[in-house]
Amino acid sequence: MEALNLLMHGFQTAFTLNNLLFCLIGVTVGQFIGVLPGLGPVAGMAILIPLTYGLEPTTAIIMLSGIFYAAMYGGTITSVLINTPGESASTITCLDGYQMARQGRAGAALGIAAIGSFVGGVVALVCLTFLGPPIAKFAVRFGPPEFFAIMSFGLLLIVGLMGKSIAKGMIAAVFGILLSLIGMDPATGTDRFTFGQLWLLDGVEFVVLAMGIFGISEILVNAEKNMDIPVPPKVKGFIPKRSEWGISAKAIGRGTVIGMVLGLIPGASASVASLMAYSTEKKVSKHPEQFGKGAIEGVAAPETANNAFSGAAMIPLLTLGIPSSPTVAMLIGAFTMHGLVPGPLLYEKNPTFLWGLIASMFIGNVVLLVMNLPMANMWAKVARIPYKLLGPLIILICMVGVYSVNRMIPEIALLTLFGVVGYFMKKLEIPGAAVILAFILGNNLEYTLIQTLSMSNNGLLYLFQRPISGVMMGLCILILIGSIVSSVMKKRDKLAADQEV
Amino acid sequence: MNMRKGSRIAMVLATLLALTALLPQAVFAQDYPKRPITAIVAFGAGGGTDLAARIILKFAEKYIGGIFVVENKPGAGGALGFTAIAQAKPDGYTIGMINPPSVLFNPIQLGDKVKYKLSDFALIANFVSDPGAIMVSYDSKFKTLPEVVAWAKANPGKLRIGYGGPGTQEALTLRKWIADNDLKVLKVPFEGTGTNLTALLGGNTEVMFANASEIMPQYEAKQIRVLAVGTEKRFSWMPEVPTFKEGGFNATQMAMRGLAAPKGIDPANLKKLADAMKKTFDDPEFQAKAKEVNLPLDYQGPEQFLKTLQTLDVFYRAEYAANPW
Repeated sequence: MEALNLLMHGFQTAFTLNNLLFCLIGVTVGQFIGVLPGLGPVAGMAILIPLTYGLEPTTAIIMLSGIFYAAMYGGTITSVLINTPGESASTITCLDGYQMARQGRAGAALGIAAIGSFVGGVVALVCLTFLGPPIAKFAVRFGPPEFFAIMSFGLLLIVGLMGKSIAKGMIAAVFGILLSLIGMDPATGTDRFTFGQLWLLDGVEFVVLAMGIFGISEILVNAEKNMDIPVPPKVKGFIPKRSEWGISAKAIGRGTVIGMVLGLIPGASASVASLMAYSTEKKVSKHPEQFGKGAIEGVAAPETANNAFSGAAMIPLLTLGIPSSPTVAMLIGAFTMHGLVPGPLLYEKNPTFLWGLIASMFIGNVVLLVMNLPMANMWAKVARIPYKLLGPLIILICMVGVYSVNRMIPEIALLTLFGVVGYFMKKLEIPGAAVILAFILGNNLEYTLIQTLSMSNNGLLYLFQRPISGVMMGLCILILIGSIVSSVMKKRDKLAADQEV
Repeated sequence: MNMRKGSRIAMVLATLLALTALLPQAVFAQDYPKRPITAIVAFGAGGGTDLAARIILKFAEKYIGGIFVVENKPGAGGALGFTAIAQAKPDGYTIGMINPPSVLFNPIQLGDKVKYKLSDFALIANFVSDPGAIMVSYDSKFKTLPEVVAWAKANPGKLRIGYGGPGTQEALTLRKWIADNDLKVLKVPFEGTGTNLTALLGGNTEVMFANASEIMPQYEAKQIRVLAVGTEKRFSWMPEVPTFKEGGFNATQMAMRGLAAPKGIDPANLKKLADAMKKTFDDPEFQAKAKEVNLPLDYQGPEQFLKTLQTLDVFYRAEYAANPW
């Protein structure tokens, strides 16, 4: 009940005019990004983080989280109406959603998707409300060795699951960690890889890397593609047929569970969640032949799952400070930028912020439900903004955004460099997300490792002598062996099917 | 219709323009300041220094009769921002927050890479002196600093101490403490007080070195016990806590925050700024606000501030020459 009380206090924070306004701005922008086919939530957040600089930390994070979960709603609209996923987690929705639209039932598809998204998102938030405090209380006892082990575990899972080959994932992760080494050595205070440049002493700015790898490179890749979008059909009538309610409710239930479980696992992504929800539905269905021809559960389940995922992904972020997906890594970057340390201490040190954020997500989900149902037609039009306008505009926003952070011209050059690197990484199918995640975790990995080593005289052996870190390190070794074996046996395609890289 | 609407808009615009033209004159009907004064903060928005700067400057606007605009210029442990202050045009419209001893450490530790020195600043006032503190968790077996020393002596290489990492002021204090008592301990570096505190409360370290203002909530909630503080006399916020010297450790440790202008500023303007800051400091509303956000206040006027910093600079240079920390 204490959690409920705290949540009520959170609503007090969230309902201040400023926070409410920025929650609204966040979800609107998120919806917009979700709808735009060329721009996913990771790139969108990377671009927008610097714009939150002048805001209060609470307001800024409320807005950025809004982008994160709203994009999951927005992506559905284009999947259903024009067979183009607005972001990768809605790819699978195209299969049945677009078919429904062709049968003139676009309204019903969008209606069930919005309802499912709402249910999935809210249930995950309820879990966050009640599961968060006990996990955080437990995790406060964790010392550097435990955090080192958990982070290594998370990073390995991410690298292991992401992309088509473990070698490429490793290349990306090592590149990310190398970048995180730039700057002052935490153990000795010596400067590393700074080439005598004072501005590199604090390391590479996260925003510069994220915008380059995700923002600029995305524009470059899209510039090669034909980004013309067909005219969407008109949408009317959001209520599914009476006979479909029962099936949909069950699909939404299963989608919620699948999305939530995957949200808790580092390395899974919203796309994997929706993919798994879809295939589960197909398996349990009495009429699997209907899938791909406009089955409503084929829309309900994945759309629910990707929203439940984004809600549940907040649990490891807020309680342990571990990013479970690239989008969450962006949020960690934003946390750090605003002087907040994601992790168990948030519950003790920044309760107003924490519960305000959670409450704002409840509000945001309600706003999105309203925004999606009656306004679907308008959003579909947004997707048709010509890319030749949007692309240059985004590049401009990136450059101005990077400059606004530290007012350093060299960082704009660095942004361009990372953009080009990101472009070639996309071409070579090296997962950029792994670079970002490794970079975000790199600094903490190094710190906790140094702390671990300086806490005992046993060296690395100490990691295995403490029960929790020992188990985690054991699991790390298992994952490493597992992924190497599976890639040797060439059985990776299933998990790596579609990742936002 | 359109014409009339258009002309009405033009009217409104003209009125607005006229008003904005009047505004600065109304506010700045004096020699200095005639326009907003930029205040450079060498650390990111939302951090401790930024918060302190924004509070001080907000109260100071009343006394200077002008407006301050905070500009964050973080990077390289403050070195970039401090350089920007030192190299700004000394016309009185750019000042900045300086954080001794970091502002002194940078030229010593980074050598030629840092393009400013103490004499490049015209000091305005010091506002904050945040003492260093040595602490343990509240249920720790240690109740006094000498007990910790005794235990560390009896158990060499066992005592785990969390501190802010190499190069920091705490590192210097810790080094002196270890050398004075001839101890063998495990030094564990932490980035930020938050993670350091987690480790202390979680029993992963036994002792923690940090600044007093950062641990006030935990001190008041009796989660930690402060064994000693780095003030010269007893620290008013923790009157029952002995000083380092009372605890048998002959040292002081203060993290200061003050305002400075680039050298070459018109002495009349400097005096105006210094007077305004003194009045700000004496404002009871400001003092209440500072207490609320845990800013340990300590006013030093231009001359005294300079003397303090010169003494510290000599001391740190000698320490660094003997052995970098």
